[in-house]
Amino acid sequence: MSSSDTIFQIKGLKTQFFTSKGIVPAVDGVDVTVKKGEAVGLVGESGCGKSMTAMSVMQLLKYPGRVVEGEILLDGEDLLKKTKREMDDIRGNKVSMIFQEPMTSLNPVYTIGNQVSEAILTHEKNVSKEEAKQRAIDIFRKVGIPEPEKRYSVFPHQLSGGLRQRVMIGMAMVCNPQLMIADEPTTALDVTIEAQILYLMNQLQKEQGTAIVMITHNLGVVAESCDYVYVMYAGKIMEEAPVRELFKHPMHPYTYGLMNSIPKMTESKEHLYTIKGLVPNLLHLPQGCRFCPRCDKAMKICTMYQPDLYETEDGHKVRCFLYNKEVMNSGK
Amino acid sequence: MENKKVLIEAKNLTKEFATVSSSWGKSKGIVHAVTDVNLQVYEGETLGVVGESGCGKSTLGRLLLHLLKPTRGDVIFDGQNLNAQKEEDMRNLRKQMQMIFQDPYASLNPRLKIRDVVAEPLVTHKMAASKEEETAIVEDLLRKCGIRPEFMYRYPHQFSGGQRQRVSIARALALNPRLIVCDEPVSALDVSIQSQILNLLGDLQAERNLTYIFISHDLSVVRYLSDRVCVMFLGKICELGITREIYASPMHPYTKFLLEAVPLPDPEKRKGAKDMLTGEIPSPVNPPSGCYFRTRCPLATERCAAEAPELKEVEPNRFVACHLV
Repeated sequence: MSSSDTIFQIKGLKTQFFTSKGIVPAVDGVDVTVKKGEAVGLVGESGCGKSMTAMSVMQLLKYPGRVVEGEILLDGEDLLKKTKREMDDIRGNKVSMIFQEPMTSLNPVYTIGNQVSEAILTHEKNVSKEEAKQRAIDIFRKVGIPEPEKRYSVFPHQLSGGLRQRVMIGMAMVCNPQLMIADEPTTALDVTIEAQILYLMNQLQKEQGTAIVMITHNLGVVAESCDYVYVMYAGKIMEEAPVRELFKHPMHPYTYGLMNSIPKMTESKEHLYTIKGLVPNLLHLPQGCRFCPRCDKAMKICTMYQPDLYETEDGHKVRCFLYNKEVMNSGK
Repeated sequence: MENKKVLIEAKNLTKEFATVSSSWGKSKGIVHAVTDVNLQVYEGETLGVVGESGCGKSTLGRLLLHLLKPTRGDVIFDGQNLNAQKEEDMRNLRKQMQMIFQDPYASLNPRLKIRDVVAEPLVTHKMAASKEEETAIVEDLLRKCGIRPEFMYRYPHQFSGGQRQRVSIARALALNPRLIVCDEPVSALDVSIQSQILNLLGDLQAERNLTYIFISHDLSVVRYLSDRVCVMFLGKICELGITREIYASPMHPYTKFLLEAVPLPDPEKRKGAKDMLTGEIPSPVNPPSGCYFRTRCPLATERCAAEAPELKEVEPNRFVACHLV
């Protein structure tokens, strides 16, 4: 892992929400590294902090949320040190984002062509309106929108969910960003459309060399589209590994539980594996490991101390005492 | 399967909705939500209904419970035609059929304590002699569904999504029904909670010989839970048969593509472009002539445009609506 091909890095990110009931540590010390042209998955259940990580990167956090610690490095520059003006120039240009709801993330009162060429005109000063229109039409063709010339002057409500998501992807790709963050891009879509969109994103990633951070709760989507995976739980990374490794040997009890609780396409009606209990309330986190109250393999030490990310021989990093040799040898 | 008792049957069931879209309230067209569905559900089995959004699977569920009046066709529950029932008789039949909805946040009354949510069907149908008996029944139901009875004086907002879904399952069980229509009961839940609810549904079925009609867009969940599966496209059944057989060897081209499209949690089995369905679902207001699927079907011939295929039994217990099968 030479640092020269690292395009994007999150270091020790902590995002907290200062609510009237107390401080909610939504993201608690997250490290993510993305290499050029790589697709990285961020998986977890709702409330684990995966979307908040993305919002912190884009600096779109809403009050009372704030990044309290950490660095977000794009090509070596810390985005957290940028002014608001500078950030405006980076968003949609160097880093772009696709949201889950294609229905609500497009402006209903402008035509889709208008919205896509706006992205070009905002970020590139010496482009004429005609050129911007041409480029918008080209990108529509690229993302597989039929009859792009005609569709240029169509409003979002006239398109289906799948087509709207294609428009969103087109808008995100039109300035050739170095990094694209996709927050549950296919969750609202049907499976046949989902397959089309994932394939499209994959193609664009290969052709244009854009790095992708794919945020999802769907392990199938991760297996289908990512190279490297981070598993998040209650604001922390629990396990990270190359995608094949992770699916072959899930090591953290949480990852293991997650993978075994999805029904398989080939089996039926045996009892499904379940992770007992519920996701912890971030206001009242357990003292030790955050997964400990739900973990089958919890030991005494798990209730007292928080484990670090331990590196294992086959390229995983696991936040679990089971993989700490000292702890396991001391027999606590 | 042959000598099993049919619990509910749909005969040429059709539902059309008029779309009102001009500002004068004039009808502009007809949405063909469900067209000519013929279906039998056996007692004690789980029938999965799958399809993409807008394919009419939820409408079908509601038609079967007679929550919607069909435009044409009949529903026969335990030998009785629901269309022909008087209101009073219908109320009695209603006890035997219940529904679980997708959104546990919207389907529980936020102003009722969960004790009263679960007790409501008992009150409506006068099933409990006294308040004490009511409470005892509710306690028992909640315990069965994995909610601690001491929580019964709390309000729905004090529970998580998974727990709320347990409460709505308890409510559905209150009248000891024979049939439960589950409309996407786990779609709003996280994976780790989803498996808990699926196991609960499985246990309850085994214990009470329940019949489920399980509506879902999630093909792996349907594979897991159902004995037979019914694949719908644009209001019509494409394929109907035993789940294991359909998943192993789908016959209708749409079923093939649908199963192919599911992203598998296995990076070794990534898909290429070749097996992907192109295009979008046609509008149910103006469905294509002949076979509804032909505009997306790579195998479509002239006959498919001219003539709508019938649902035929091609093998024992295997029904397919396609000219090519």
